[in-house]
Amino acid sequence: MTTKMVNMEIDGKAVQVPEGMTLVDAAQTVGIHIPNLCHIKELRGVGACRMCMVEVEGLKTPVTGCTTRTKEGMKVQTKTPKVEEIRKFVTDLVLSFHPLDCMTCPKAGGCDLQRYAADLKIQESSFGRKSFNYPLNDRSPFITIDNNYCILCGRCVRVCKEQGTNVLDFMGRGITTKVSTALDKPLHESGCTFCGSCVDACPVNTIMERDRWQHGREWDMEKADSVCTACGSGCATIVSKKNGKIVKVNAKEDTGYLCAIGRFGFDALTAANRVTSPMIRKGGKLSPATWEEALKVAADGLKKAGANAGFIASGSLTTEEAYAVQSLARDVVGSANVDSTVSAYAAGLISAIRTMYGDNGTAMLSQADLHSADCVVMIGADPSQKKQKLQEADVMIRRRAQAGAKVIVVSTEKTDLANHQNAILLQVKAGADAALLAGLMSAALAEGAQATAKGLDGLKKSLVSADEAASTSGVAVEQIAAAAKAFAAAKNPVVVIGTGVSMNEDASLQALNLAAMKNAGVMALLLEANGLGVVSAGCLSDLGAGFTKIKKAGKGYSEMKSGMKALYLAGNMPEVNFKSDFMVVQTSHITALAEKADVVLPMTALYERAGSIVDMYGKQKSFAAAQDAAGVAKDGADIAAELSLVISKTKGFKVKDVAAAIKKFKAGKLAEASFKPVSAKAGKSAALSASELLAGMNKGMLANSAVAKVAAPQGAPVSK
Amino acid sequence: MLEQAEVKSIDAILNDAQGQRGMLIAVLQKVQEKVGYLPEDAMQMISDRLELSFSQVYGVASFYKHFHFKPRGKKIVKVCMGTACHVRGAKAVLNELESKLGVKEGETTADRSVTLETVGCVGCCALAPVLTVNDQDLYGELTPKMVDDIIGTVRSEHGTHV
Repeated sequence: MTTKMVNMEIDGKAVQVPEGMTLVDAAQTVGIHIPNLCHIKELRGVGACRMCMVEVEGLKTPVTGCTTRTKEGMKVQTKTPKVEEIRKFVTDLVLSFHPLDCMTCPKAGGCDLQRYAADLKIQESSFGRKSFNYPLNDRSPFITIDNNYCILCGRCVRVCKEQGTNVLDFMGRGITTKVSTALDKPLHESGCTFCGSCVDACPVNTIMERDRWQHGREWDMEKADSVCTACGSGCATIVSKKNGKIVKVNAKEDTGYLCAIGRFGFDALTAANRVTSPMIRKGGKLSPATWEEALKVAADGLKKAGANAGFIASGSLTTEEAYAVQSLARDVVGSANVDSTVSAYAAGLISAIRTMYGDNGTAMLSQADLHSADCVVMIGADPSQKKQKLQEADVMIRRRAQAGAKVIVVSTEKTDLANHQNAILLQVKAGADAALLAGLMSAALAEGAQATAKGLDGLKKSLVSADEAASTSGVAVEQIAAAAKAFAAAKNPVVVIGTGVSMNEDASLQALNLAAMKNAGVMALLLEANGLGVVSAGCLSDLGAGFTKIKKAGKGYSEMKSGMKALYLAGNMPEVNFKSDFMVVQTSHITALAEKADVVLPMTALYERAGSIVDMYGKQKSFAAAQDAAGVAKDGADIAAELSLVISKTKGFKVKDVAAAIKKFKAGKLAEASFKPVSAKAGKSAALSASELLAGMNKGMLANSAVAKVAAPQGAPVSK
Repeated sequence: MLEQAEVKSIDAILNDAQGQRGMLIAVLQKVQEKVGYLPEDAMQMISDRLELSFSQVYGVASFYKHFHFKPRGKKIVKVCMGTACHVRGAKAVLNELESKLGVKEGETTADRSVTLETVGCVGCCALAPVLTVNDQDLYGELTPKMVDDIIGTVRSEHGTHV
């Protein structure tokens, strides 16, 4: 989406800024900071704190910069004596009920109020000081609320509301107003998911990470950008450390989101079940070994199995790690049996994409622009904060819904997002997804959807009327009509495909047909951080690295689960049911699977990792390690490279070869989309539970983490 | 826990307001009228049916002094603490009421017959000090000695004997 730019003058400087943006955000885009205590980037301003007062030429009185929007020719002054005077007064008032204990306050250095008071040269309030003596609310894990510091800006209340968690609000009235939960209950009894968005939003020391007191302040911390790889969102983070220890993790983007795992799950790195050294099976028991010993045993076992060895790469591996695994298999051990865990839950979707857009088709997924979507069609997809699965996707889609986008939910059950007032729920009978979509498409065509893709006539023949689809799928025909109307009218629709249909190639194809009808963006709601990158790295049984053809397809994920002479499992697996004569497990934490292994190779986890991923939005993210590896753990690419050299001096590869090979990846030109008709009859459902899969994948990592209690996907609790 | 009959009457109130967020305050008023206060379960029902979060429901309710979150007595005794009443000994009357009823200001007796509260000014300062019962009956020119009799009347109307 391109935004219209307007010419304005800010502080005498001619600037170009997006039209209709708040003055606070617009000024920030050209590097001018307008002081504010209550504004949240990209949210509608509320004009509560009055700090952002600016003077606009032609207006008699100063206006709030967070509620005034940019217009062509506007002339804004942000630093006149008049507005400085107002800001001083506001700060003076706020400080009259704020504890002035900056010398010990853990927020010092990161506190907006402290910064503005210093800028405005206000040491203490001229009104004297009122204190409330509220008790510290430390009744919940992870987050504390100290209302004594609260300036009632409402940022926390608004982020909580806007993302649909709705736990915090203003309670009471007047001077005794308090930010709290209903009936002042502890957060964990109020439906809080501990995402900590309120922590990032709070300008002062009111809402804080629980363990911050005496654990260092902003200027003590060493900061590094990183990425959380616990699920498909791959959220960008900032990791703050003191003396080599992680103190806190924040969302990198002002408009970003982090769930409890990303923000508070770093204790998993030092948990008791962390694998810190290689292990080999001796006398039926796993015992610690050196890298040399372990690699030797692994190399011997794999060499012996040769073409009968199987390799499965987790979708949470970085592209580098995944490339190294498939190279180890195909080029060094000489086995064609390579697949990734993506095939365990999205095999149908990946092959549907390849059928429709060619082998390099997954590259097409990066074109979806969820952040400006005005209609989101969710097919078999149920991201949910409440159920603690793919929370970030839930938040992003919810934000679109809050902004007025229609959300069409095709699902066998009433999903969380289907409860939104802008949602249209098409609750289908199991297995009737493709049939319903056939009816939805014919209704959308009748509503005037202009399909440009080739093969429309063929597709039309395969479609059924809305009435017929209604009777097959059990959805009311009015609902189908309403959804078709919203979809046909949308300017930037996005189709989101989840695990409800992603094992079913027909249903997935039908979803892609629907998207092609409006040239809509497609988003594959893959569960793992690098599902798309792992596919592009060649971890599929019938596709090579960088979407190249391979001579002979090997065995796939499900075929390798048992009967292989040797099995190499790299990274988190969604299940433990693997059987093989010889098993090498590359893992960061001890899992039930690792306990069955013959060799365990210790891998880096979360913020220790370096490499690149392609998240579920198709966005490439590269990152360096933000934390030292535990024990002698290594990145998967290093492990595979070293192992390859033990297996064969001549065929083995080095890590720098991996990086060089990945640089050469080219998605190339995508095939022009053409409709691929599928049967409109109800079929068998292949729905999988994202909750169970995600719980399985992260079970080892989270088993001993404090977040296990709050961040386990519901229905599949993480047990110790 | 709400009684079956209470659930039924709250349901009836909510049936008229299903999904209408703007009806929140009216619904809260009606529910309080029926139940006497706003129990947690009742607010949870309101939150579910009006499609508002629990925190929003409580946030709005806690804004108004009119709404109560703890059970209240059948009789609400409000002692005026306005300037005139204060000057003419309202504090002594309140102390006497507190000791005779066995509750502090703002509390309700164990049998839920009487809630003792204070108010700013009732607007009949000529009769100071005054108290009201259920915002209907007015007792004026009070002295601590009159408290026993007043409590007797208040309680007897409720059917209990002093």
